[in-house]
Amino acid sequence: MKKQIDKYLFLAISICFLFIRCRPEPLDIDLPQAEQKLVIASQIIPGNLMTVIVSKSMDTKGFNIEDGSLSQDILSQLLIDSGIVTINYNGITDTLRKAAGVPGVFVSAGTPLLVNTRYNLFVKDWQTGMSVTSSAYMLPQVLLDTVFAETIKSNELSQTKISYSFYDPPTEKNWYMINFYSPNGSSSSSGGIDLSENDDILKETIIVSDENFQNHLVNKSYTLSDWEQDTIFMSISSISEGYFDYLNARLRGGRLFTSLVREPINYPTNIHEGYGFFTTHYPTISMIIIE
Amino acid sequence: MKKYSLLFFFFFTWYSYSQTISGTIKDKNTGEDLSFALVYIKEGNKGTSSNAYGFYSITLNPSDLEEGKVTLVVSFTGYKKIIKVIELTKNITLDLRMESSSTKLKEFTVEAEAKEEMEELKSTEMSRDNLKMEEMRTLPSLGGETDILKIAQLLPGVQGGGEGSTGMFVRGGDADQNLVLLDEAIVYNVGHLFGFFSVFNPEAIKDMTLLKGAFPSQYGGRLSSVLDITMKNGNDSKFHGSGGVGLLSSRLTLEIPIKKEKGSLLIAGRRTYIDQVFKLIGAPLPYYFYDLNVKANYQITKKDRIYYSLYFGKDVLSFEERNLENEPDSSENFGGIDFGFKLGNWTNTLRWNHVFTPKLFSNISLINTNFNYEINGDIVSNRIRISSNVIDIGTKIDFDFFKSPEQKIKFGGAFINHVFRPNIVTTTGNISELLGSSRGVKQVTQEMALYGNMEHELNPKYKISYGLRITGSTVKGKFYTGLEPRVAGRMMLNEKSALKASYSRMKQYMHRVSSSTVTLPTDLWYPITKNIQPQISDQIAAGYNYLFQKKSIMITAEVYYKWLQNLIQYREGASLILNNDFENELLQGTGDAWGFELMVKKERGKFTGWISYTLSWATRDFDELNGGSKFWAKYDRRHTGSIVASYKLSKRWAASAVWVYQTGSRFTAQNGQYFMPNSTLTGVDVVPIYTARNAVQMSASHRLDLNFVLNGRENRLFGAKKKRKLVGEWHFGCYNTYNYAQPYRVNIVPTESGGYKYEQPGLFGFIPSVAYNFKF
Repeated sequence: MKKQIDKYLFLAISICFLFIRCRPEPLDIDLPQAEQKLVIASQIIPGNLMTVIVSKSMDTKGFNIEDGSLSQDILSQLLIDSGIVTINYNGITDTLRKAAGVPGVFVSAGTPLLVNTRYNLFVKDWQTGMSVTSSAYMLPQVLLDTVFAETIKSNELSQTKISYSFYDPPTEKNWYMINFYSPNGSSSSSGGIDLSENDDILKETIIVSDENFQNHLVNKSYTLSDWEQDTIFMSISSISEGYFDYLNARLRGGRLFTSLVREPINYPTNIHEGYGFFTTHYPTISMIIIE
Repeated sequence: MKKYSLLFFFFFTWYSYSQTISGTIKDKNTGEDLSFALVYIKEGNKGTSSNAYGFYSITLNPSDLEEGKVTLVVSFTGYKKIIKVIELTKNITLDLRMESSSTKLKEFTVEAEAKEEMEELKSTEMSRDNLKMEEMRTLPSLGGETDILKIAQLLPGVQGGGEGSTGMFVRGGDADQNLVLLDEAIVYNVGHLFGFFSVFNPEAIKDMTLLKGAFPSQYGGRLSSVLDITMKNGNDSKFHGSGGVGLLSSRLTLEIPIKKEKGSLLIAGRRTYIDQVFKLIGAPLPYYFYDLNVKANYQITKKDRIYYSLYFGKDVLSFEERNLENEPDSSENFGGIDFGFKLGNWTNTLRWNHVFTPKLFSNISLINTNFNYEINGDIVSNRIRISSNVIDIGTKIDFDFFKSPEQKIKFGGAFINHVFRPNIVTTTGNISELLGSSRGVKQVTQEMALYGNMEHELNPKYKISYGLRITGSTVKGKFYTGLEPRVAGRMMLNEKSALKASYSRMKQYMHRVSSSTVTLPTDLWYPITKNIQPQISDQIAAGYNYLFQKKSIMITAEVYYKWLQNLIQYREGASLILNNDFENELLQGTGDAWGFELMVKKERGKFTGWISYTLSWATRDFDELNGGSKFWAKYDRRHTGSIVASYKLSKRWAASAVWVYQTGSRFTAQNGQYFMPNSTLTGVDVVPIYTARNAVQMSASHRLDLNFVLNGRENRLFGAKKKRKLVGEWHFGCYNTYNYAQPYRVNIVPTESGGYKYEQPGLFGFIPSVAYNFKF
């Protein structure tokens, strides 16, 4: 009898081990962080203003994407407030002015937008001493022929089809960026920037090269499902091959939290000793009213 | 003319007096084929070994006989030696059954083992490890489950993937470069529970051979290794059973004679109850796996034997959450969330052994493999099914020609038809607008091979093995072929030591598409295409063996260099989910791997085990990755080592320990970020900055596992009056005894001071286990 009790006790203790499970202490590791560099973005905005946005890169420990938004504090640390931005073209150097009340944004109102001209960028941050240079070639504006939208309803589905056509010069290789966007912003309520996805905001970028174009006049369309707003903006630009590669990488990279299902990607850059991309593409913008 | 006739007459007369002794060697009690048993004649220095089916053949010249007689000796580790005096006047067939040894026959066991060790030293085989189930059964394991793949990871030149996984990276190769065979059928997925347990039920397995180089020409199709696993045949004399009950799974094996000493049937089943165990502790894990092994064999005539082997295994993960407010109103409206994942492996092999002549043995096999998985999701009225499968149907024919004790020839051919069906998608409901149904892109390819191999002992000092494998594969629009030469040689330095060298070329006509960051059981196998070329490896190896015979310690040191071509990686930014256009996402490049391996192994005595150490490097070179610069392979681990020890403490108690050390694996880390306006200027994107590819290494890890075995006394079977012997043994083990983290990823976590830091968690800590195994 005693032997049987011992046996069952032994069994019971053994089963109790089932519930014992120790998680080991994680091991610390110090990953070498990427050297901080200046980040450049540029855009020609309505009013023929050449705009350059200058910020700094940061390490992965300073900000976590899962936080969901960029606070004012972080923005103020990253955007360059004291520095010099110059653009050189045809032997002339223009110094861009800081946009009033908008840190990190430098604007040139007087720089002419000369097609087939090379623009050389120089940026220096007084605070850190970091500087970068870059260069971009201004391509001609795209000649948009037609653009119109029509709504197609079938069963319970509503689709908005935007049809557009433009001229592609046949004599050389060309690359294009077409953007469709709605005018809503993405600010967070605290004055920072909301990084979360918002289905009510349209922001679609399509990039194409002309290698498959059959004709000089190119016809394309873009379709939206269940779009309820009555206005869409479209811009089309002729871009360089380098910027095409950069945008292709950005589109393939997706949002940060899709990196689990995508291969890591190091984005190309034309910024010497920096990140981002300096481009002087000259968009043709249309406002499309949807009946 | 007269001179030549005389010569011919002498030759013919001499040749006609050569006699052959042939037959099969089996275990007397169980009828299991004894592969690679040694057969030699006492009078001369001539011998051979039985093949994988236990068939042997030894041809003797008149000069080998003494008054027309010869003393034949057969020895095999763990068995009583057979010594027979045979009067040899013609070819004879002699089938032998060897009796397993007991302590009374210790001297025979020791002598047999010593002989086997000498044969290993004298063979041209290198870069090879043979492991028997009896050796592996007592070693410690995760959750008390003997896992032959985890044991293979303890051998030199073999690295595991993440903690607990069954992935293998052999001599700088990738995980899809290992040919895993179960009774000749290819096993595509070798892991249950996302790779934590292998699909091989230890009760059904007889032995396992791992080849890392010096590949004989009968093997091909993968670059880095061959893991050839043989199932038991089953006892052909008496009904037997065995099984085990553990914390995570249980298994039962039955061995049933069909006809005494003619045929047998083996059925082995296993099922995990990990879902029930976790349910008990309040952490629901709706997952289970089961597998079934069946093997039947029958001796039809003295010259013919047939075998049928089957493996079937399934993993099921099923999560169901019903929303009580939305009760289903029809089969179309589920009313909740149901998510499931099923993964299945199925292999069938039908084989026919035929003895044509006393010197010529053949095996013909028909082989079928089916690997499939399905992911299903039901959310309210939406339903999605994604499935993929690989189906192989093939045939193989192999001949063993025992020309003489000094010369063995092996030749044959194979043909496999592969059908790949990736990403079959079925959707219903609103989700079908986002993701339409699709039949996937079916791909059919054929793979074929012819091979020949000759093993030739030139003299007691030199032995050489050389062969050629001619392979080919047809894909739509292209036919690939290749010549794969294989050479291996041995030079005896003295009685105790030998130098060996080898060269092999291997080609691979399919690949598994895995992310560089994570390997999933849903990773897809794809064939080569007219754009994706077959992968190729060329490997040279040199080795030194030293045998301390009295101590039964074999020291093996090897160096190798491997050149790899047409390796496959994903393009940067490639999307891995439901991508039928994978071909455009793939890149091909080259790689190099080189290293040094040391193994000190003791196989006899109370204390057995091995110490292994590997120092290795592996690089990759792709024009479109890492800016065109060479980079380290993901599993480039500089140092890997293990100490495996088993000790018989007493008649009933035995203990074993495994200590493993490895340098951390590599990964591409995100080490910075910046913000860029998106191209529509409607928002800002966070853009990650990554290090150079695989530039960062996780911390080194080490771990100690222990196992104690208590052999039970004989019991009556369930208290029955009829006397039966139920022999049991208890296993008490612990995994990761000192609870040290085995890093598998890097996390960014907040600190108390408000910042963030990096840390590397481990998956499993200290896990004790108890298991009870029995035989009757």
